[in-house]
Amino acid sequence: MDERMKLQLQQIGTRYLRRTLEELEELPPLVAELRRRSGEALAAVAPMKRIEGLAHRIYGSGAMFGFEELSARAHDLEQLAAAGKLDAQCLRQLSACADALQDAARTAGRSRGVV
Amino acid sequence: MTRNPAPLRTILYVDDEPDIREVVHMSLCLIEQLEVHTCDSGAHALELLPRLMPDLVLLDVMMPGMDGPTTLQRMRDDAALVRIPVVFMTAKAMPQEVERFRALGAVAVIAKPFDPMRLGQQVVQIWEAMEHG
Repeated sequence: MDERMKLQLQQIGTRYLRRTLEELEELPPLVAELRRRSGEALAAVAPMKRIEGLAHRIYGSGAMFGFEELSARAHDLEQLAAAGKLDAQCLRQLSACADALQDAARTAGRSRGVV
Repeated sequence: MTRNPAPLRTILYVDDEPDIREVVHMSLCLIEQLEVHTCDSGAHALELLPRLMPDLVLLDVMMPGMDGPTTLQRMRDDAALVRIPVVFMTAKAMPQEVERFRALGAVAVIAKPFDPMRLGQQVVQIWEAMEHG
């Protein structure tokens, strides 16, 4: 693999991170909405699906740019959201996974100087 | 049935994510003499396909609007596009999902995240191993 391609990948990766960090700002309000609506299974479907979709996208793309930790944390969150459970313990777990994903994104962001 | 003897000349990659499109474009351009086209949706792909008639289509599975499986179905319903082989790219590549995608008519499934350095090679291997006749 030549240096030019490495450099290009790094540039695309940095842009990707910026966009991902922005998208992840959606996560805390979505988790808060889930907590608020944990008693209403139907109303919780949309935020849960949104979290799953967001996590799915990051899982499938992070490691491509060398952000393995970002992909791994997104995978954890995607699986929890896909299970869709709304009991207190699962919501705590989901919230912790969402935090871990944001932390991973910030760590990756710092490594590229975008945070 | 024989193994595919002709080299891969044209490919269309369909994905809604611009960064991934760029990486895939870059990876595939490492394949010698391959003409690489990309587009951002299943609907756009269906518009482009009759004109491009690529040797192979790489389809992202999860896309807003028309997803990968629906796009493949529409290709199969169109006499002009029915024979173009499709490879799915997905972050849902568990064995039962791969089985489902193959049942829909995909010739192969590439798991995301993929290694950009190896993608081109992987696609060529799929192309060469494909049976046709």
